[in-house]
Amino acid sequence: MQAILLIQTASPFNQAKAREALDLALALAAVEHQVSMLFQDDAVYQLLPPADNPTDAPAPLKAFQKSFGLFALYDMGPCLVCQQSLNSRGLAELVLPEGFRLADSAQIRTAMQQADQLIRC
Amino acid sequence: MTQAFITVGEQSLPLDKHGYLQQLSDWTPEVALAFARLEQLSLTDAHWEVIYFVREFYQQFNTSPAIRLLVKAMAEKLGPDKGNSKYLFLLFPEGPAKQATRLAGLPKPAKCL
Amino acid sequence: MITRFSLLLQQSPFAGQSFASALQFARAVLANGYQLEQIFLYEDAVLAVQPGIDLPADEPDLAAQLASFCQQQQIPLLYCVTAAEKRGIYAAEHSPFLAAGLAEFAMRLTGTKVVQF
Repeated sequence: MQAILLIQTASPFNQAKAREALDLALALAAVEHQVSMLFQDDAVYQLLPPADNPTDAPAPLKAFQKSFGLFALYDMGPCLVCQQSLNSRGLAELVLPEGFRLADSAQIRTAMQQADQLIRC
Repeated sequence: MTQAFITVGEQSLPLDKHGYLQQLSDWTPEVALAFARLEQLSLTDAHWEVIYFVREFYQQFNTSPAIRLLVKAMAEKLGPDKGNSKYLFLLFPEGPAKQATRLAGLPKPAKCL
Repeated sequence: MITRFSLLLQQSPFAGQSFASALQFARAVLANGYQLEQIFLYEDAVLAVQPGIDLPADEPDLAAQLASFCQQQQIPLLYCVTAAEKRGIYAAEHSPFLAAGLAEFAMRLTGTKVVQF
């Protein structure tokens, strides 16, 4: 068992990258690693509320973010969201989904120090 | 086992490459019965409980549960008597996640998890 | 205790330098007396598994080089079968690349240091 911080950087429009990062996180948690996550750069767009019906969405994307609900089932977390990445994208006011919390650079540094491994996706 | 359609009553419903329902919205309990006949399973209440469980799981999380996840989620919701792979394999001998999701009209779960 | 490494490759063998870097790193690991637990191909790195790769003789086939290195040194060279299927990639029979899942990567990772390319 290891403490792994998975750093997500991909926009939800980059479906392969964002989705495969999520699959990796779930697989690591499934074999009992302690997985925490950091949403950074364009990955903060993943936290925007997805359209319920993919055909209503501006682009035909699968709403894989619904699977974030699995984090609680696997005792994953914390799920940190980079404050700086939100600010620079005009998303400072975004209401974060349940279980996610803001992190400034000092908090991100601490999370990185506490992890045994960092994996960036 | 590969076929392009499954016959349910008067209807022929298209299947995907893996023999799973192509259109999630085509599902009715009769579809589960038709798949069960193909797989030579006779469905009991215990089977239906799992079928409805994976359907609900899909609606909530938008993903088909692979075996580890299914066991974990069942244990959480229905207790360890049902949330264990022995119980599930007795019901679905070909692989609980694989078979239950097929009967439930969901996409095939990821092989790699 | 001797450090063991897990290498995780995520880029296409053609669209980046990750295979070249990983190969150099892997050689250095063994040359310095450390061990390799696994080399795992994920995301676009699974393109290396494609049996139809056809390069001119004067361009190095990094996927093939990595495969023969792993065979010589008996290092598990694994790829994510789901990532491959999504890209329409199937390994040849007797491929040096072994079909595996993320769960296997995750299990082998225990007790190793992950290095990404």
